[in-house]
Amino acid sequence: MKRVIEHFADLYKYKALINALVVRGLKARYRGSILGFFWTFLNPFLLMLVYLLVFKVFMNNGIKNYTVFLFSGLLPWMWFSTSLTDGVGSIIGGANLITKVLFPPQVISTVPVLVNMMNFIFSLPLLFIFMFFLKMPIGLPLLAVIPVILVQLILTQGLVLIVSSVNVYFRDLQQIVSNLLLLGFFVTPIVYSLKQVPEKYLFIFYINPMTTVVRSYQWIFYYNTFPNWLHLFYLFIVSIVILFAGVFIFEQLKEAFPEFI
Amino acid sequence: MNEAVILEHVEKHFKKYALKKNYSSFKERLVHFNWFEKHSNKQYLEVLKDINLSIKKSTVFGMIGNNGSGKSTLLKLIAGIYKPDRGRVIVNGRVSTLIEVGAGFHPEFTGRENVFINGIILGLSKKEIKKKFDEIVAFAELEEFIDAPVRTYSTGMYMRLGFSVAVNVNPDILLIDEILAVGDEAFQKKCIDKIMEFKSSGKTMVIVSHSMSMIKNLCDDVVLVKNGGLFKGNSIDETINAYQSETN
Repeated sequence: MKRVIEHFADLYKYKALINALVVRGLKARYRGSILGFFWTFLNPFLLMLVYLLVFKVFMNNGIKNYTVFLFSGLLPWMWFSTSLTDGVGSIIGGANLITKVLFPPQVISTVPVLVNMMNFIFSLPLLFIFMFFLKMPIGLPLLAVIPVILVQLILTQGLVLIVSSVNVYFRDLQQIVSNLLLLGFFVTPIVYSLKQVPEKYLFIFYINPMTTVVRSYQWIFYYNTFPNWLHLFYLFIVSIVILFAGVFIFEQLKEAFPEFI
Repeated sequence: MNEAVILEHVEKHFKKYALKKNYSSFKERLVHFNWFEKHSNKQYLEVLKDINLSIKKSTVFGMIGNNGSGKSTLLKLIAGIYKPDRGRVIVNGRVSTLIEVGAGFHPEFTGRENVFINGIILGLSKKEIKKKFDEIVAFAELEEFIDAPVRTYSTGMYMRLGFSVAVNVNPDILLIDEILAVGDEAFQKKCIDKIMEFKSSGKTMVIVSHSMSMIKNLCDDVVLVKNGGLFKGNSIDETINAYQSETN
């Protein structure tokens, strides 16, 4: 327990560094490109067009206002999956810091999660623009987006702590994670609705924590209702457990990082 | 307390396989036909054995030795980056490491941006960096290029900027690894002046170098790191001679 508290106390102590690295991470992504920060909007927009073409134009799946439905799941998924792909290699990628300067390595694993969270938040206006043009109501449920983001943050951070530290010793994980994420994308109700899934397969969605995350956003943005608080509460408990497991594993492994990277 | 750094019976070993190959993936095992080889025959490479060392405050302490003798490992133990496998390391004061200059520089960012991030990494606050910014840039002599991305810098410029940030962190103990060979003669002289200034203001420095003239000029005390142990002659010259006679 002491180590868990220290883990978070160190993060707090280094908040100026985290802040600086997050800002740098946001700028670095599009540094040197002509459209620059505009890519934050353009990337999800283009990805959305691809899915729109496949799932709406080619195989009309019957979901009304499909762009908004798609976006409300796609944007948080991009936060989640990019955090994991960036995060899994973060400790190894930060070798020149970890082996040369003394500071808590959890800083390095936290940064990609926060960078992608900021990217997610910055891309939300795009969703609002579509909602505006499709004359979809925006109301009080929008407030619920804050707890949903927090729960997703806890979940993502926990997973990134696990994969980034284990990846130092087991580098195949990087490949495994990217493949699992592809699978994850299609077993999360992002491009289709849960109603379209045959009942006998529904259990897959109940064990996938991202189902509740994505559905919560859909409830808020697409259905303009509050998310299912009970589901969100379950997810919160699961996320806390994963975060603690992540901190525990990370703390166990971190001492030997400088020797292995 | 008169000592800045004390090492008591410090031992450090690395797992041999961790040195040979940092990791093993399935593909590698397939390629090398060691499919089922477990790393059960863990062999250890004893890098440092039973090290006892005390470094007095406000002195310049030099470490010499061949490549791979364990000088940098020793430095990283003092910095707290490595944990000793046995014994203990006691450090009194704030440590700043200059093991690699510009650790954490991002090539796409300007010198100005990198000074801020590097400063924060080394433990300065944003306010402190702002206050010292002009001094840092002036010391590195990069006023003209500070708003250019560091990828456009020459190696020397890059090193100068990194060094300049690090010496402005204002530590109690500064650990310097091989980096004083940066820059031209004029800049080296400035570095040496800075070290002297540090020393007279009561700071402690631990220097690893292969430049014997620099060691002779700067250090109050020198050890030779050899075969995992330390050797110290009666005088600095004797220690240096022991090192040089071994290489010849």
